[in-house]
Amino acid sequence: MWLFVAGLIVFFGGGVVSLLMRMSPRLASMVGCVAAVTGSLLALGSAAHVLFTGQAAHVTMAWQIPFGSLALGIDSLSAIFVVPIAVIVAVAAIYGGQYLPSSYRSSVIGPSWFFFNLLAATMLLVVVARNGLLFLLCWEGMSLASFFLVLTDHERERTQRAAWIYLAAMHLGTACLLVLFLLLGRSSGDLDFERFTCEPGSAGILFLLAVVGFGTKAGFIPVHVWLPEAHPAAPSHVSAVMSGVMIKTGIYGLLRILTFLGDVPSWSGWTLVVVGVLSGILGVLFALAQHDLKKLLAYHSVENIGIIVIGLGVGLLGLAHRIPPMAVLGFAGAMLHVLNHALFKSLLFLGAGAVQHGTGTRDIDRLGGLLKKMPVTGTTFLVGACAISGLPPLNGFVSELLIYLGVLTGVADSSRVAEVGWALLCVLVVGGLALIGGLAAACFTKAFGCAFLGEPRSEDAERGHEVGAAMRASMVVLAGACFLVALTGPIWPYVYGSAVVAVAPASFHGEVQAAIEQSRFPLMVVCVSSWAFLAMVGLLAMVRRALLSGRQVDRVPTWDCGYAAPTPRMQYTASSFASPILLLFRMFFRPRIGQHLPTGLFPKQASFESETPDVFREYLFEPVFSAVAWTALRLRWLQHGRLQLYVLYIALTILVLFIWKLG
Amino acid sequence: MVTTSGLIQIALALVLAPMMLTIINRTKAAFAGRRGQPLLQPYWDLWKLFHKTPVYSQTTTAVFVSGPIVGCAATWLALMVTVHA
Repeated sequence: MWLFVAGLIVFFGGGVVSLLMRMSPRLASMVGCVAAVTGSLLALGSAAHVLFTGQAAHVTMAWQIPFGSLALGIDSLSAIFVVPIAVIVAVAAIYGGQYLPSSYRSSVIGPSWFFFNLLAATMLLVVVARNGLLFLLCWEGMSLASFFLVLTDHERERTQRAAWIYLAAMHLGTACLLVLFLLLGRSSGDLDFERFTCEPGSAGILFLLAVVGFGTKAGFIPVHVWLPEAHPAAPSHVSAVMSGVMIKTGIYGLLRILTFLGDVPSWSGWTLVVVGVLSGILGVLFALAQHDLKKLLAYHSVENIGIIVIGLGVGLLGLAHRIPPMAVLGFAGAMLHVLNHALFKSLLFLGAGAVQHGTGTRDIDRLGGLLKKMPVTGTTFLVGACAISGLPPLNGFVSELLIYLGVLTGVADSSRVAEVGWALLCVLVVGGLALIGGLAAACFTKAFGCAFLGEPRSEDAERGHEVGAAMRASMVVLAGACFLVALTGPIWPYVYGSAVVAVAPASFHGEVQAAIEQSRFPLMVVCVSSWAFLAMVGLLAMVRRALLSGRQVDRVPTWDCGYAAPTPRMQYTASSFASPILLLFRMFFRPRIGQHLPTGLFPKQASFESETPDVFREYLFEPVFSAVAWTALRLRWLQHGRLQLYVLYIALTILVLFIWKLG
Repeated sequence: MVTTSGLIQIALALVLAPMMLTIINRTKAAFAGRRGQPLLQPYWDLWKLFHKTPVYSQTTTAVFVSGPIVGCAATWLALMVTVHA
């Protein structure tokens, strides 16, 4: 535990030092980067210790603030979230050390590293805090640090807009959490987690508050609107941290609250399954409609959070109906997907940053042919794209398989086979996950194919160049990790086992423990088949080489049906690739199309552009917030800026409260 | 686990796969009142194709080359998993 505290001190110290070094941005960047890596390694060490020994660590300090003590603790549930946070922060810091100074003005470098380290420290504190007040303080710190990181490029109007949407969304979420913690701590009078109790009958309302409050951070639909705004606006290594791990603190919060609620009603599992399927399908559909690479990735975060939530829902249904294998596979799939999504989504965001760095644009329709100019970025991006589409032998497949197996074992449970609702669950989860996986594969075929394959579509893409060694190394590490998780399948039940047990009610621990042992079998199959697949690919590649050895292999221009020189503009574009699928689901979209069609016998100019705004933002939140703004404008007469008037307001309020209390 | 019969099944599936084309073609032909292609035609086609000079577009990358390899490995593996699981 002291290792962990030392890590936190390194984060804060390094951040402050890099903020103070205004004279030398290069040195500030180095200090910030080294502090982030060291702090992460220390935190990773203490989490690994908890996971290997199985002993939770605690530390309690006195503080002057009411409502309990300053308590920190790492148990298995915290540890499985500390691991991805520490890994991604370290890798992103190495990437940022090279990326930030070469892409941004020197005046923002010190502050940026300060907020980066602050974000890392507060994220880690959120998952180890054992006191409600401390949790909320760190939660706010995390939101504010990332708000300032989103504002790194603060002179652009779009960035400012994105940052404000982000800030507003975070505070709406925190408002729910405040009520949630006060309700949980009402009977004991303080906010220490170990004295939290759920009053009988209030589990349902507490659960809903947690879903809305934590869901805003995690990006559940329809409260996901901040994600596609904020993630593209931030520098790429920050997007990687925000999208890869920061939104997972919402999942952690939800799991932690579940441990206080005890027996949860069955409808809570159904709620999560429905929210998850909706987030997954709509997230990937909106992603398909984007042509900004980072915005596309941001929508994929909504999709993957959906998959995690489906897993949690399946797990909760397993708990509510007392089917241990279903509970274990659902929760285990969700927890493993937290790690997996952190790995591949960060990899993809770092890749998108490299593309932007190398070409100066993120518009997929202006890229093309980058695999030849940026071989390392391209190859690692391909690995990430396969992983996020849930293809074996990569990590995304493993966690999605566990969720599939969870719902199938639940449905096959003999006592429930005939129930209509149970069949519906099977259709919803299996059908939903399959649809999500298929659409994700289509989306990444579009993103990878149009950005990295073919011929360059613009001069920017023509000039593309590979990025520096540190940036390449961090992408290679993450791509390797994506393979590693799938190729070491059977060890993961040891890692997530005790965390799954922690979520289950105490009366149920024995059966859950047995089911965890059983969950190693499918992972063993996945592991063996993944190795076999790689071996076979190698074998076939050698066969191909043997067949071609000593023979002539021609490389010529693409057959162009007799035209002398096809231009790159004749290629399939990203928008046209996605168009058939989008037409199929057009009830969910309201694309804005600006077109100028060719006219006359000798047409000269034509143009076409399309933009797909978020329907939830346009039709749900904008009307609501406009109404709020309108009301606020009508109440302007209350606000004169005169101190006497405000004193009068306070006095009147106190008077009314007295009358209410005494009367 | 790996058994002899399993291995034979996998080997047979690989060897007999091109025969599927003949069966489809012959069935169609029978309904249309024709004779259809010779029994081993797909094998002769494969033999001929394996001896042609490969031509790749300059635009293509390793992804293009690895397509058939990955596709073949995936099908083969699916076969092995279904035979053994």
